[in-house]
Amino acid sequence: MHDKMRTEMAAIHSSVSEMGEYALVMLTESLEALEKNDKQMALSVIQKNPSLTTQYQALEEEMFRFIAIYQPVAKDMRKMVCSIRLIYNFERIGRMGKDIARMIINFPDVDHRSHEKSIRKMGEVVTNMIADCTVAYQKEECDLILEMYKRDDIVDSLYEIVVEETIRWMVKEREMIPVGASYLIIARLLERCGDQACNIAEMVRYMISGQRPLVT
Amino acid sequence: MLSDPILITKNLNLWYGTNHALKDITMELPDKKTTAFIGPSGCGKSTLIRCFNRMNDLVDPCNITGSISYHGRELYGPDCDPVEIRMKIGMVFQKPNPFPKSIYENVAFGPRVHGIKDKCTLDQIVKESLTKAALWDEVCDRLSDSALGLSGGQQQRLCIARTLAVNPEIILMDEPCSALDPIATAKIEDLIDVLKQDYCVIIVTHSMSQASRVSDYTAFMYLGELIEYGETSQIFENPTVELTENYITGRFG
Repeated sequence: MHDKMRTEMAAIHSSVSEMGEYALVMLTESLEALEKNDKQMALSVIQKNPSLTTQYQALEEEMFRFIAIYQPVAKDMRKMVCSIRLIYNFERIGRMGKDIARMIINFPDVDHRSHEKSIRKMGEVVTNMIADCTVAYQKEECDLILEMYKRDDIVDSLYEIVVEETIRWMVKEREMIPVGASYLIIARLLERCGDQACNIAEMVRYMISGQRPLVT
Repeated sequence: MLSDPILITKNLNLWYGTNHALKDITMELPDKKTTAFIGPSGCGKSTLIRCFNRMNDLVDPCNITGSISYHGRELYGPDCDPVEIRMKIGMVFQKPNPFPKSIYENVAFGPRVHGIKDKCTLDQIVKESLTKAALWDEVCDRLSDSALGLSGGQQQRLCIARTLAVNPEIILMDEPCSALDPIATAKIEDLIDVLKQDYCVIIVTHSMSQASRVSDYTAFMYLGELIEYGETSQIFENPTVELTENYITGRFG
């Protein structure tokens, strides 16, 4: 019976990792669509959303069933509890990717590429954080995610820079106001994705070590 | 480790003939808490709790070294009377074993042996013990019926009442639920939860989930050694020894 439990647990672990990658793809592609002003790509991100929801629901169901049947303890319990929380974080990240994509679709036809630098930088830091979290979970290794809160501080300061810059050019270029408003929202979404990465890192560290890292 | 332990074992070793059944067990057991012993069959957990009320005296050949102190008194010391010890440290076994007597007589038996003759006092002890064992309501109108007519779960609670009747401090339970159905098991577990307010309860169980449900402290034993001992929540959430982890997660055992 324990072989069966191990097999099911391994399957859940790899499905959760896959969902993490899927959500990350939604976020990265939405940022790529922003960079290229590619509405077609933004549309494809939105079309990924139903599958994200399906994965989330199926995995949650599967893990509830696993707990009811096997009543895992110790490392097994930590992995299950952590995975249940992770799929929630992944679902949020994917959905924020979708929200960004939706905004790009509604962008007016203006060239905003000269303003992208800071928001692109912010996107890079955030997506790297999430990518590292996904790998850490997949490989069950903490090394990549030890400094997550420091990295989130960088995201927070980039957020402030984006807000400041955006307001500045919105004042100067009134025709850019609709794009600027979207920029502010996108920056806010990215900042929240950074928070999600911190939550994931904290859970993965708990899953691996059983210790709850001090939040600083 | 504990502020006020009721039992302290130090370097306890036990041999059944040449079989080294307990190896250097050193631990402190808390009063008014439940401590569970888990481990695969033959790991020594029953042997250990049988040491606590000197049941192993009845096994030959059995050699014990090291010490067990109960309230600072050496259990295996020359001045220690095993009969008195078994009154203060009672035991409930795996299979319910009521005497082939009435329900009343089963509970009154112990106090009578210890010299209580007065009918009123005995009536009171029987009622109190059966009430504490959560059995009174089910049997109060048929105290003179044979105990053997009770269900397995009721018989086991009767055995607990019989143990309580001589006013013990420690109750040892050796797999008390392994012969019972889930409902009777749940009743015993609820009872353990109540009993620990007044007694030190020590339970040996093969059911990991039972250990995690009923106990405050859990000790994991393997091949006669105490591998890990700590708060139950810690043992089941984040054990420090890999062997414990492997056992409780079912990787062996």
